[in-house]
This record gives sequence, structure tokens and C-alpha cells, in this order.
Amino acid sequence: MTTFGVASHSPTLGLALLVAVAGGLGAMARALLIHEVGRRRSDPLPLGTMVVNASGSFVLGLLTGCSMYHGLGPHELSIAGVGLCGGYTTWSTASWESVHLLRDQHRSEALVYTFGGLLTSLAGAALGIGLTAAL
Amino acid sequence: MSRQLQPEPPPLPLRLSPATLAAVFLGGGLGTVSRFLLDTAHPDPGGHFPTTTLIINLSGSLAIGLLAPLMARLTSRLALLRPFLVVGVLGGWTTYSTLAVDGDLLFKGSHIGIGVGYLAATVFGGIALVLLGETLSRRTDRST
Repeated sequence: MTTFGVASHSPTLGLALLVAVAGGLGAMARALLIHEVGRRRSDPLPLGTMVVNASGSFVLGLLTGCSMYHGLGPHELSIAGVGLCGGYTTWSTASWESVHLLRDQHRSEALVYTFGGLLTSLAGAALGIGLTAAL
Repeated sequence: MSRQLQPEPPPLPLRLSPATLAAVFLGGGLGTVSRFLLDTAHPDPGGHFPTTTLIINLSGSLAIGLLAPLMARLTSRLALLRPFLVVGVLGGWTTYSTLAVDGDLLFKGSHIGIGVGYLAATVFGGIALVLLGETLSRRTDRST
């Protein structure tokens, strides 16, 4: 990521382990949330992935703002930002679901999912950064 | 879309047993720490095109295209490979939050062209690489 204070030289083993644990927890939270949202819906639009990516972008926006304006440390940003938010949000599934909505002839859902997902995540991140700048 | 490709069953919903969640946790930790190590070795400097994150995300799109068709046919004995590799490793390796924050920071710093180019390269490159991965995956599969 564009490194606002993420530890930029060789990280210690301890930090790498904490980032791994945070990433694992983020990935588990993503799987649970997508599963719960998917269970309640029959619509082809993968709303769960959109909610995960927008909410994770909002939290990373908050953390990035805290690092830029309020002195959040590089280790904390690495664990909570790169680890937790990075493990929670996903690009691979997002691009895969875009392709499969198109292939299954769900063209309007593919547009809403691909560009709506991008805009809600950009907006979430901007809101997070903006909130910390205003505080 | 391409006619020779058949629809795949979607990767979700998973059956979220404790073993599935453990596989997601382990894979997610592995994918995330790999991205962290590559990120710290090659950090994307602010105001420039985020090459490292683009490579991470596009490689994840290629990999999910390659893996998803194979995972759909796994026997139940290997069923945990999909939550481990696809949901865990690839989900942890790739990131949407960094994409969004870096895009916003490029726009905020008035690097509009770089920001638009970065988002477009990720979105359209990602879609192209999923298709490429699936095509390669099926071709290899037929020849074996």
C-alpha cells in the first residue's frame, strides 16, 4: 500500500506473525459475513462481498487518517491496516464475481457490482480519511 | 462472454464448519503476511502508480481464474483446499481496502490521471486475468 508510516524496512518475525494472525482473523470475518448475507438473499448480486469491501475500506481509511493526522504508529498500522483490513477485504473474489455475473447474463448486476463496489469502497475510504482529518 | 466456457458454480456460500473456518484462518494468515512482506520489500511511494499492489491484485485474479474451475471438482476428501486456497490465501493476498485508500490518496493529491489509470488497470486487468486463468485452467485440464 502507499505507505504512510507502515514499517518500511525489514519487519521483525514478531510483527510478521501478528500481521498473519490479524489477516487470518480478517479472512474468517469475511467468510462469515459473506456466508450470512448470501444465506438471506436469492438475488444474483453478491452483496456480501460489496459490504465487506466497503466496510474494510472505511476502516482502512480511518487507520490511514490516524497515521497521517494523529500519529498512529507503523506497527499498529501494519497489524490493523495491512493485516486485518487486508485479510478482510478481497480483490480476487471481486474480479471473479464480476466475470461470472457477466457470463451468466446478469449484465446490469455486473455493472452495479463492479463499479458500484468500486465507488462504495472509494467513498468508504474517503469518509474514513475525512473523519480523521476533521477530528 | 466467451462461448466455449461453461458457467461455474459460485464459490460461495461455503459450509462454514469449524474445519472450514480454520482453513480460511490459516490461508488468510499466509496470504496476508506474504502481501505484507512484498509490500515492505517494495513499498508503493505516495503520489506514484501503486505497482506493488497492482501486481498483487492482478496475480490474485489470475490465480482465482486458474484455481476455481479445479476446486469446483474436488472430492470431499480435499474439500478444505478451496476455503484454504481461494477464500484464505487468495483473499488474504489480495486487498480491496488498499486499492480504495490508494485511489483516494492519489485523487486527494491531484494525481487524477494516475488514480484513474490505477483503478482502470485493476478493474479491467483483473477481469481479463480471471478469464485468461479460466481458459488456461480448462485447456490444461482437457489435455491431461
